[in-house]
Amino acid sequence: MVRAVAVRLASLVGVLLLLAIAVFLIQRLLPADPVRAVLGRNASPDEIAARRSELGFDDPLPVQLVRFLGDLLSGDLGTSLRTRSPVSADIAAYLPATLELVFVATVIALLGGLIVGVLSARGGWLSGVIRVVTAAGASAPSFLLAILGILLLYRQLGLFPAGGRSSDLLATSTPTGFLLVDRLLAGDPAGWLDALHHVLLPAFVLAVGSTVAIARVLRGSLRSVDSLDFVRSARAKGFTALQVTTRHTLRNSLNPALSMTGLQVGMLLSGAVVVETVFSWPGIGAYLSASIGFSDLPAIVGVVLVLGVAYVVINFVVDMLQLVVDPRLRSA
Amino acid sequence: MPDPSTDRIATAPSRGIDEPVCRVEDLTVDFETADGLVRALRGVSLEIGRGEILALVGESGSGKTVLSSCLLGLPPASLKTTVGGSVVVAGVDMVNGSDADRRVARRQTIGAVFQDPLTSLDPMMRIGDQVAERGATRARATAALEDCGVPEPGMRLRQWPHQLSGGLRQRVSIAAAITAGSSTPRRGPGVDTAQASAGDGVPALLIADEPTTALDVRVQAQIIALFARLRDEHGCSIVLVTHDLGVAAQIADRIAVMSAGELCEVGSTEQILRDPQHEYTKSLLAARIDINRMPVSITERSRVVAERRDDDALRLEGISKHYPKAGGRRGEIFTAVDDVSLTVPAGGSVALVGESGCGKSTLLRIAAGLTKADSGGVHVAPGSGRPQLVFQDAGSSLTPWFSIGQGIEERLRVQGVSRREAPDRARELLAQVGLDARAAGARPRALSGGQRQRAAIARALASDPRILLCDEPVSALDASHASRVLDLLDELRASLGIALLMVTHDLAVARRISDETAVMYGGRIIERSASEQLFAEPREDYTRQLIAASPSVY
Amino acid sequence: MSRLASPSGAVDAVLTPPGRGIRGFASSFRRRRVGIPERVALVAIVIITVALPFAPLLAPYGSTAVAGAPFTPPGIDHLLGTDSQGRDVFSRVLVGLGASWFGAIAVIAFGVVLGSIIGLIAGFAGGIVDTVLMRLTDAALALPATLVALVVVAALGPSLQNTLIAVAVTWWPWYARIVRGQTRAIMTMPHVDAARLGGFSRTRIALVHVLPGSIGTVLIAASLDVGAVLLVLATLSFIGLGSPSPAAEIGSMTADGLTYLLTAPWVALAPATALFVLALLANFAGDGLRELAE
Repeated sequence: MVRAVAVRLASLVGVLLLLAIAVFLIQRLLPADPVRAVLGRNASPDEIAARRSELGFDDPLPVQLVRFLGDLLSGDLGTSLRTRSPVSADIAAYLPATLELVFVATVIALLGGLIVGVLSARGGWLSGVIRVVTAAGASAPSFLLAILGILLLYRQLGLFPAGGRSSDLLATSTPTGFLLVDRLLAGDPAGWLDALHHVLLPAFVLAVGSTVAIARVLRGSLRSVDSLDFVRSARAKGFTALQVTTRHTLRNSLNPALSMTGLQVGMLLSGAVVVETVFSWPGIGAYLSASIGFSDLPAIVGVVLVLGVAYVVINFVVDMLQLVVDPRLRSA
Repeated sequence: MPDPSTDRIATAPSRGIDEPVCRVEDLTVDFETADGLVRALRGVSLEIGRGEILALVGESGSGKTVLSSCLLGLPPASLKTTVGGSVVVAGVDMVNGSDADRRVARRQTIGAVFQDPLTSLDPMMRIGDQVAERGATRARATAALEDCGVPEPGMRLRQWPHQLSGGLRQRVSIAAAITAGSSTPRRGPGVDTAQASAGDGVPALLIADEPTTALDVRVQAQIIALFARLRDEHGCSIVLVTHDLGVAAQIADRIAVMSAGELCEVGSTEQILRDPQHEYTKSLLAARIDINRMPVSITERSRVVAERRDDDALRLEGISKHYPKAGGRRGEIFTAVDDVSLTVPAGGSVALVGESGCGKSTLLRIAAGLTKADSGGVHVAPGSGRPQLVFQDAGSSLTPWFSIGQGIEERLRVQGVSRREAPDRARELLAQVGLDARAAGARPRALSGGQRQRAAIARALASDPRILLCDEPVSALDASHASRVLDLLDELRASLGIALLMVTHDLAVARRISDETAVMYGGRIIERSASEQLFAEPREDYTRQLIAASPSVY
Repeated sequence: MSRLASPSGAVDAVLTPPGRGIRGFASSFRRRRVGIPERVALVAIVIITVALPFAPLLAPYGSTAVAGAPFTPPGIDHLLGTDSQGRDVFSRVLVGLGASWFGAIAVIAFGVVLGSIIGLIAGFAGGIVDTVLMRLTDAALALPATLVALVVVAALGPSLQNTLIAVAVTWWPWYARIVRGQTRAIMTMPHVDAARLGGFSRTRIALVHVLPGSIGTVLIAASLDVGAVLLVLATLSFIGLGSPSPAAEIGSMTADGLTYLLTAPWVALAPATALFVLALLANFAGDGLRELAE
């Protein structure tokens, strides 16, 4: 068990390092010139050369890499060209809203995926309906869902607000930055419900694709586990279909679904860019979207690094969960 | 466990079918497949008496497994199935009864054991929880494990299935099967409680579907002894589904023979084996490769060997092979083959017998040149070409996307046969192994098991080998095909002078095909002599155990 | 084992093999092993693939030309209305779909080819080669693909071509893993041992006796992925990484239309819905292919 955890921890560190190196190389080797971007089109060659050596771009690549990694470790992601403030400060301001959105979306996707997966594996007319609905869910771009959500649920039915984190436009979220947590800490149930009301529609839109992906994987593994002898044994012991599913089939089918959940967190993080843009959600995705329009490379790189780290760490957590679920993995 | 080499277990006397535990009446099962309706069972009627062991014998596709799942009230669910007739177990109709009644019957009255011990336990549930799943106490679970010959039962309760060997897992499956739900709570309305249990919470009816097929013979003998004890001590009725009449002969009180979805005949073990009435039963007995009955005189063969002894086709010298231990610490090694030397005379046949994990297959792969030995040498007589291998699973030994003809022609082309001549030569080879020329155009999956093995042999012959290495070539085949494939191999040896080295777990196969037999245990050859002598007067105790445990109808 | 043998033992008549290859597919198609939505989708996808290269010719107006008054609602002249610049939405959607469709196919094709080569080499060679290649693949898979693609496009400069490159370089590891896994599985099968005993060269064994066994699996996986790649490409374009404004791209058209969502919903709704329909057809067709292969 200790060894299994140690192996996964080592690979976590390796992947994080690789992520940093990949991003570094993309920045340095691809044609975008960060110096020209900082100084603007009218800078003279001398100015550029001076600035290049000042910024260390004339040093050998390995030296630059070490400096880059050192900066990362000390939390220095450079300065945004657009906001002119440190990228790390910008991200710190916007990240909680995104994490809140993605967290709610993950919960929806996981619960939805489990329910839909189990129901669709059972066969009958319901599974046929679910098949069509999941096929549609897997094919719908998130911006279409967002548009439909706004047109139907906001404009036609008025069930949900169309954007923002809260009805109070000036509301700030302290101390944690997570509005759902802060309002709870402040003992403000009405405000909490308001925040929940705001997050539900964007989170749901964000979660649809992942729900479908998890449900499909779960359905597939439920079906393949279902034909194994130990499931037959359990039926032969006289348990009901539901008992057999919950005690044996589901637990043995969980790991592929967990893996898929880990992968889907990556989709949720990148999907957040679209959903935040459409729903004016003041998160890191909307920040990224604005940075792209400005070709603000330091900001883009910073956001991608932070989201990438979040993704890698979450997948590490998923790995740990799999160890808990499957006793065979622990001895490996 | 008692000594596995005990004599055949005596059948318990006077078990009538006056008050059957289970009555099957006119049972018919149809499957709806993409290719139309398939009738899996055709009006089967059968009674299973209290405290008797009934063996359900038949080849693959005979319907025996379908029948056993109907006894559980769980007909195969993967296909659309129609069931007619009735199966009554302890007063509950397992075909037409309500779901709840049938579940209660399964909980309290019936236990089931399946073929593959590797998949019949839930890998994510502790042993104790699985044995006690139907509501038994911890003490009861421990007792059941002990009853089934699991050593240190108390400690096993907390272990996971992957920590146990195959034989042990099968014992755990049986322990779980005989730990029925307590008879007080949750009694179903329709259940005849007087009949529900054979006493001590052991279910009245145990259904075992090929429970020993995946196990070594000595373990098989132990499991069979365990079934006999369950019958004798707990009065449990057992339906033993098996393809092997020998296993049935070892333990059954009565035998039911099935073929093509029909019950051919039912009778006492003695009557079925000594005085079979049905043609199919007779053919089954005739085709059986039995350790105690050989069609060809082996005395004659031994003489032939003596004449050829000076001329070796294959010589293995001091072969050793080590592997890193599975699941062991770094650096721990497992010695698969330990300094083994063996010769195969030209045109002779040598059998290598032993249980799984004894190193026999590794040795064969080394002889074929597929695995490198850590030390020692493989010497092939000059001019004999590369030894060819005949595999256990003939189907997967043929490249699936090649037609049979393509596979053979590819070999011939490497041998220098021209593109024009290759198809004709391929057809000749097919004829030589007894296959129709039309087989050349078929894909492997369109052929039966026996046909595939013949096609694989024809392909091996295309490389014109002097040595044929055979890895359990008939263990996946039904008896009728198996004996014919063995006859073919023997014929090739006689007509082409091809030497055979055959690895098998089945001593009957070894005795039937080989001049000489070598017994492997723990990576070493512990005994080797002319087959006749080895089977008549085994020197080693281990060999004696193997011979004694081999199922036989004589 | 002997599935097709009669139990009584008379076996030597060879049964006609169930068709495989093209004929097998055709017969499965006819014998209704494939559901109705999948069949419709397969036919539709074939038609789309043939017709979309001619999208600029089929479109009633130029995709970047002003064709009428801005924000004309859908009607006879403009099937899907016009956008803020007065360009014909239907024509733009048609052209945009063509670019998305062939872009997605190009990305997948690149991934399949590169992934198959790497997977086959890793699986067949085994040992240190396998370890190195698979560590690389695993590492590539451990990175969030869309995010890495995003940095690549940001660094290269936004355009459809760069988006395609970015997604292509992040997409191949899936196929490498599939092919490698299949190759390892096939390598343990006796028919490969048999081929080794047949005296064939390693290259012949790899290409003739191993690779064909994994091609089917990877192609089916790939066909099921076309829909997903369509969505990824459109998403990147939506957040501003596609070609700049006048170019007709589904993602950027939708993003542009968002501004007028409540007054002229068709401008955003039309391209998004069209993409949905195409992705749905692609997904059903992928399912259909899988069912045909089974």
